Amino acid sequence: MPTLAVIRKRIKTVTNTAKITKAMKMIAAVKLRKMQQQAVNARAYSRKIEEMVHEITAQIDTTLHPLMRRPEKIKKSLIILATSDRGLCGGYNSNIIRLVSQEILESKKENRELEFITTGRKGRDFLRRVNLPIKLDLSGSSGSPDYSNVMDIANAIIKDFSDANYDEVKFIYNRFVSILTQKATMEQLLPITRTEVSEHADGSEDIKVIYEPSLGEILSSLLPRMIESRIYHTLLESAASEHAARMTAMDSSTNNAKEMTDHLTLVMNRARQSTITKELMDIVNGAEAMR
Amino acid sequence: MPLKLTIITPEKIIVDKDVDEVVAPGWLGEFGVLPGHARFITLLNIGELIYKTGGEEEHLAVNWGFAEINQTRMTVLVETAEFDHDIDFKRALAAKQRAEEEIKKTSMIDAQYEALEAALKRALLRLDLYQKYGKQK
Repeated sequence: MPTLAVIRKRIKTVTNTAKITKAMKMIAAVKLRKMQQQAVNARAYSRKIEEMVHEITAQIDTTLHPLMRRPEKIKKSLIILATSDRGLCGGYNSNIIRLVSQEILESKKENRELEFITTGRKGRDFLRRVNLPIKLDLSGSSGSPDYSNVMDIANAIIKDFSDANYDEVKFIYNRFVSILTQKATMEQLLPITRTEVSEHADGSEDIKVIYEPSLGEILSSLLPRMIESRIYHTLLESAASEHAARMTAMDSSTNNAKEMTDHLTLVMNRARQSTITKELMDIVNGAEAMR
Repeated sequence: MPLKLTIITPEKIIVDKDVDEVVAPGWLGEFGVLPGHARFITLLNIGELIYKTGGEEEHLAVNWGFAEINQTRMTVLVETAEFDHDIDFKRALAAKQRAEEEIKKTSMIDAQYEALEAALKRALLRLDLYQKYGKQK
């Protein structure tokens, strides 16, 4: 049986840990809200840009555009790996790493080269361990992505893809399903998949639209922006998932700590009582002996 | 009939309101938009975008984007947009000097030349707007 003092010390340690995890949970909650707000703000732009691209691709042959090029065989893929910089967020990173490992195995089977862009320290460290090439490392900003990170990534991929240095560009990140669930997902970013053209139901097709300078040129400058906007969106989502995962993880560890203090308090009281009983026995025995 | 103007950047919606008239820096030159304009999609240059409501005029520095216009709406998507009264003079000046120095160092065939030139243009535009309107507010 541990002595009273030892148990008291443990209780104190656990309570202190609980205080920290609780604070971390609250911080994560605030950051999550901020990310969600940022995602809402970004939605207007991305929706509009997708809409315009959709409208334009419906009107011209896009198979020639370098960003829509569809290679026959994929020899080299670039993967943008979104993990967090810091741990203490449950299965957030391990789920991603598991997915990446699968992809690595598959690429070996298909004899396909891989290269990576990382946006989090955890992903970077993993790739270094397994010795895979990292083209660009943006770790240090996983929790709060901003548009300059997006530009860095977009600049790195658009030109290289157009020059056929890569045959596809994919994202691996945690999709935000809800605060309690985040799903590790792989998504294709390039080549841009052409959405099936649907006729305008309201017949607005008939209205003559003026394009300046020309449809093709507008499309050429629209597509890179659309990619940027998609990257931004994905980074925001990944960051939101990170905060949500951390929030959930910290919440359960706060609860665990609480359970632990409850249990320890019980043990402590029992120990205290047994000491008292023992002392009483001593006194009674002593009194008996005096008689 | 008012014209609904929406200016959106990747980070947020900057303007979303009814206006009387808009003047924007189109790819092929400045153009004005009044309600009832024909359907029109254009790229935007680095330049000054003006919109008028009642007697009030607002000026923004916009940087690469495009605009979609139809009878009652004008939607402008830009990478950045800055109101004249938000322009930071010192920062704009520093950006201008930086761009100028960089341009001196690079030759016209360099890949960066165009980007630098655009940066210089943006800085000059911000300075220009600041000098024209910024000080009064």
